Amino acid sequence: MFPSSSSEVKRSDRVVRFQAAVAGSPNAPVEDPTPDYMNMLGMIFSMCGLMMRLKWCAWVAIYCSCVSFANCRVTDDTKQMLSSFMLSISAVVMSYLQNPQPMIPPWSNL
Amino acid sequence: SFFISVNPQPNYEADDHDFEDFDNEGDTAENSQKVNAEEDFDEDGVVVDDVIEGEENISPEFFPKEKEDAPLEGDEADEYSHLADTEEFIGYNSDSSSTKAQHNLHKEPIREPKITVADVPLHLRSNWDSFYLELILLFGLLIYFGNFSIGRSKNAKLATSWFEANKTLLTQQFALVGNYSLYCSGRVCIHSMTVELRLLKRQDLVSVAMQMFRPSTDEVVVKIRLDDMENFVMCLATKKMASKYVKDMTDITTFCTGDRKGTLPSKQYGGCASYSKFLLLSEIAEASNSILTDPRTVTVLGKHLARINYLHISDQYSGPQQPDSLTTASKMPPVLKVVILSFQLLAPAKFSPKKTDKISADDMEQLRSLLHLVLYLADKLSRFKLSKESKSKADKNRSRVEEAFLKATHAVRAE
Repeated sequence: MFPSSSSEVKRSDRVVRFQAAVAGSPNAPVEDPTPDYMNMLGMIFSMCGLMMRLKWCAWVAIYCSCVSFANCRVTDDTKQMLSSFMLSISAVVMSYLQNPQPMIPPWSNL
Repeated sequence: SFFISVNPQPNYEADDHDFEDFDNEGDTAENSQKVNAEEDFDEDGVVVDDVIEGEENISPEFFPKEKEDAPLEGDEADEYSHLADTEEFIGYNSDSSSTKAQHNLHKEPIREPKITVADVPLHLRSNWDSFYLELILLFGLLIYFGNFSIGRSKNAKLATSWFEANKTLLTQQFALVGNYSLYCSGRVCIHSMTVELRLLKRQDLVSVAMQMFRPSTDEVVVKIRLDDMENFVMCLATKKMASKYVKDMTDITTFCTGDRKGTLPSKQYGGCASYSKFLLLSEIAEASNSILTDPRTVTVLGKHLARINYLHISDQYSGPQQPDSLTTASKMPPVLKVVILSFQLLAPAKFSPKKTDKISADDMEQLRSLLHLVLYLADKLSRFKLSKESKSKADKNRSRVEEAFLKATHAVRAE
């Protein structure tokens, strides 16, 4: 189906090095918004956990950080990922230090 | 019990009698008032030690007056100096207040100290099973990270096996292979080629769960940027993909307007199982027919039609629609001449006996032939020439679109 010998089609003089496409240009890859959304959600839940001492918010923040970590791209910034994890883990630790009682499940008072 | 009251004053002089009859010789009047060494034992053996300053309510005869002894001098004083040494009396509380406490004991009941209970939260309970909700959440995290590592390794295996299967073909066709995750360049009539493997997020448990409700498949997107081609835009897509992909692309929505919808040429593709699933949007029918009825295209496309998601050929490709393109753009967005073919990495479940995440040899063969097809289309497009009418029609379309764009940006600037 194709010219058999590769020498007919190969042009090493016409090699064009890869350039990362600028956002908005035709070649720009389709960005997946999930990691950014989950990162934002994680930070909001961490703040709730820390300021309003809600333990379940702190736990949800940890899960949001995990989902954001699982969906992040190789090119993403690891610092942001690390800060989101640190914030959610500190929310859990602080909420248990302030009130070491276990969480009361919602179904316990049904 | 035996009880001595000793006042460790430095100028105190001991007496050479035995301890019962101990008194302060040579004390001034003030000292005798402060420490009265007379000890009496009451009948039940408790030492009643007369004490200390300012106790007016005790009657004087209780304290018989004693003859003052002269203070000891010289050797005699040294002999008894050890009595003044407090370490001699170990365990004996020489504090004068204890005698006061004893004295009060007899006099009035001890007032209960007022105890205030501080608001201290309950400490961690000894039994950890009351933390079962936390244990469940921790167990959930464990499962999440377990699935993360399994899913990521599965995706990595898929990507490497695809690359291994197509490496020989790519190295034959391109001078540069894999400069970035599968970017190839250095071939006749092709500026560059990018292959993107859009795999399922097997590493994310949430996506795996969503997958059960909204199934999707692994996708291979081969995008070839051509050096040159005739002016026309066409897109062959499944109806499901057409609603999502087509609406997103600026060039298709601009050049393939509503009345140009059609289907695959029935004569060549009518016999295919998934023939009815496809929709054809074409600006110039002559061009799309010429491409789709080419014998080689018919053989490959017809054979693997079930795997195809969409085939997009365009000289005006500018990517997905940008929301603020009109307000910010002063001139037309840059366009590329592209051939994009998207197909499924794994055979659709209907055809493969067991739905696995492994690429079978048959799959590999089909994937290689589809890659052959895209490269063949690139060669054909570089040789393909439109007829005069079709060419003028295409040029008219492009100038019309440019005018409309300039008018729109002009209106925005005027506001």
